[in-house]
Amino acid sequence: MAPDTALTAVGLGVDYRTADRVVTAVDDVSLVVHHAQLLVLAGPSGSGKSSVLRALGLLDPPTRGTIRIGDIDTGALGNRARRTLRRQRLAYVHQRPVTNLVDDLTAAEQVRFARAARGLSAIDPLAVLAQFGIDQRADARPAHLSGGEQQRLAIAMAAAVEPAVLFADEPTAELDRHHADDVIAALAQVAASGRAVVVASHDPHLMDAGHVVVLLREGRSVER
Amino acid sequence: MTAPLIAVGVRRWFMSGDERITPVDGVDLEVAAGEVVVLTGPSGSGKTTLLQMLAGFQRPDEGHVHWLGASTAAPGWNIVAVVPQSLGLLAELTVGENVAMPLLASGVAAADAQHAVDAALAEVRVDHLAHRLVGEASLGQQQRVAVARALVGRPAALVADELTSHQDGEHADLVLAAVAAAARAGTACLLAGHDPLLTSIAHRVIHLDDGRLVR
Repeated sequence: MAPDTALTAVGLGVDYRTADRVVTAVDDVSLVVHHAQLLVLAGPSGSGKSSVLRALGLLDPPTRGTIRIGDIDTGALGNRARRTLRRQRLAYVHQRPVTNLVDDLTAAEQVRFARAARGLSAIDPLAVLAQFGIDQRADARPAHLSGGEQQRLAIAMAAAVEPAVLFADEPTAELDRHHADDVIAALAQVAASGRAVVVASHDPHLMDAGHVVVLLREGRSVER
Repeated sequence: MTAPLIAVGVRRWFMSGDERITPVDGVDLEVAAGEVVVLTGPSGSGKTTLLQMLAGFQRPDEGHVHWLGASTAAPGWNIVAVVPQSLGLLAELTVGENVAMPLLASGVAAADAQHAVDAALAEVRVDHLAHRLVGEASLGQQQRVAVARALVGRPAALVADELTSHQDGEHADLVLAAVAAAARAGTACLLAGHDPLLTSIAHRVIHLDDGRLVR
């Protein structure tokens, strides 16, 4: 495997069991994400984006296929090892900006908190915030930030813990166009700094910003 | 029987230029097993600093905090469980995994932990989120997850800061019912906050002003 590969999925399949049948949500999806790359999982609602993202993010083990984070085959890991790998190597940004943040900490404190929670050494939070254009809001608490600023802060926190892969689920869905574009720039910035970024989204601007776009339809990847 | 949570002459101070600031200035406090004590006080009264010392997050400069009669550097979550205002949930873990943490950390087998986790999540109505990451839950749900995590291991003492701040009426009642049930099972509960609902389950209300208990 190439040394610049952050994440590899081969033949991914996810089945859900309902009361009377098995539903295949994802079937035979393969993808590779390199460091410094932004990969966008695109497709309409119900296309399997979230299922792929949850499998890649080591939240739900896939029914079929293999997922490697760096050179670790995650299928061979028990629950505890998967949790540890998630805590040490992965980071997540969710759709609703405010739920990514601690509401009584300032922006600078959130960055410090994110590092401390992972047992990482302290760094200058202002330098991190500056990379995402929100250093002038360092002393503001989430309630005083716009949705776009909140989301950029969440991305700054996720980037500050130096994950191997940063995952984001519809990170622009609740934002107006202007703020959404700021968030897309922030995700591109994380990739430019050398991290692998995987985003599920149907935002066309985000698809344009992706280095790789995997288009899903009915659980399968299709050519764009 | 020794009270699970005791503070004796607790004082915390720091220098600001030439001035000595004493956010907590000699507090004596005892919360008995099964007792619910509500701590009120204006912002800047020293509440948060006092809570941090009672939780074992900060050491007093003078005086002692005793948990179950012992004064240890870092009491485990089975001894004193905490709901900080910042909640302190781990973002890369699911709701269920966060709540399981105190049990797994104290050596409970995963299968036994699962039953306790399911019950704790259901009690504050977040069981449907067990497999979701914390950030996928609303702030109100996250706060209830923090409550479930605090109570799951039946701790000797509970220290909670504004534990209903993100709850609407119905969910605040759920949270308080869970705390009251823990108290009936023997947990010594210290709840800081201004929500009048808190006092509805309190045996005692104490007030902190300028670093001192005034009643």
